[in-house]
Amino acid sequence: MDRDRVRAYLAARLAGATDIEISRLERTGGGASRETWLVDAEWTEHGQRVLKPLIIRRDPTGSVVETDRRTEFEVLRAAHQIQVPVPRMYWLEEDPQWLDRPFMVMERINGMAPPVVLPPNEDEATRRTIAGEFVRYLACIHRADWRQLGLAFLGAPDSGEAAARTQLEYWEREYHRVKLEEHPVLATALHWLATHVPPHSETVLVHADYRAGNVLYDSGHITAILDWEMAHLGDPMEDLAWAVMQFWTTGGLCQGLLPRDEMIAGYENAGGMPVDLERLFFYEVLGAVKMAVISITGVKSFCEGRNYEPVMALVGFMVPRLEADLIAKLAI
Amino acid sequence: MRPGATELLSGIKDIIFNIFVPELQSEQARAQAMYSSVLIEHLIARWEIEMPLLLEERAELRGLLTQALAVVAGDLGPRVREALAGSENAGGGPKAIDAENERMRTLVPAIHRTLPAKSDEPQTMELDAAIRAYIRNQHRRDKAFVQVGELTW
Repeated sequence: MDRDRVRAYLAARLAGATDIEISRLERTGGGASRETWLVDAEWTEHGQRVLKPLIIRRDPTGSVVETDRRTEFEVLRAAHQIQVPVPRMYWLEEDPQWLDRPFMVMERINGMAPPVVLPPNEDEATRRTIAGEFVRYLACIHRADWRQLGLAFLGAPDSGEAAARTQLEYWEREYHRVKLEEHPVLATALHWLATHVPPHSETVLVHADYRAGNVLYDSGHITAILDWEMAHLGDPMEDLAWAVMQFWTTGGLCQGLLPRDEMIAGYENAGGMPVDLERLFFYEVLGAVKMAVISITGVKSFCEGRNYEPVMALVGFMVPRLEADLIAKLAI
Repeated sequence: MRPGATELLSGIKDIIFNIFVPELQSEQARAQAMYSSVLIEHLIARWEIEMPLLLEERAELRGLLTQALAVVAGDLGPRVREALAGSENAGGGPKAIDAENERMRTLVPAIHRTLPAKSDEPQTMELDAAIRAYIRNQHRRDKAFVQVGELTW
């Protein structure tokens, strides 16, 4: 990744733009799936100097999640029409000639992302405001008319058990594909899930990684919801379960934001879908398995030498934490 | 012979911090150096506990699989016998012991799934309890690896 190559790409995409300069090209830390690069670009267009802060998200050599980037791009473009803050998407580039690997270019929004959950030293007023926006935006996503947004291409599960079964089968397949060794706790959890598949009735747009670590906030408000790469159509309880999962809870606060009961009630009061506690439990168990599989995928890329960044080794150390939650939940 | 393995690792960690890091220009490179140092710290602490934990797991798995032989049916029996025979003379370092443990470990979920959800039969109930105890103990052992070297998440 260098400025000349980025400049060449923008020149190819921006008809009528001249004197393109890249004044900043800097990789940010964080994000174990795609590389995130901060770009400050400027050019002359119709006699005016344009300054554009951008983000380039490029596929890494090995990742924790193998996802369809075109799906993510199209979902983000559609999500821009819902009343939730998401970056404007500019280009999806799959030709490796430009930057060696596929990438997306989007607007850069001000704000900082919490490392995992909202830090405990954040003041109470900010925490409450962000918590309110967090549940309200999730409710908005679930209430969105995905058909009207053109998202039927994601494949809506039939009613009944299809939504849960589709996700369970996906993550079980992924577990067997990426595991480097047997994990008896995960195997037990998968068996429990297979024998407790719940039916559902409302199919919604599911973000599938909705958590505080995937939002930006600035001046006490959420400015962007990021990382839609696992989005699909399914059961709204899947997102809510991810948000209230023990793994993302610190100091008794889910996502560092709210106690569990308040998060659930807040989601419902903000216009979210009716909460079914049995389905919620199923998806919390599945969520713990999913997070473990995501971690193991990163470890696999490290062990196979496809990605030598130390964080890919460290993510494996999260698996025992997730297993502790499963042992407690399933009374193993 | 000195320096020993953990002394060498400590030295490498010091080289990273005292020689490499001051020369690094970017935030990304400094972050990677910090992560690398955390991994080395983990490795130093893990050096002492890895073999005892692997041997403890091996003993427990051998006991569990021997107990399962009286209960399992079909093709699982020969697979259990084969895994037990393989681990009996397994020697070598941590990698070899772990490989033999893995051969036995992979059978645990398969054995567990064959047990009826509810049973009054004593041998079945005891095997179910032993499998659950193994799962909890293995989780404890895995946690021990994660908790050394001051790793926190």
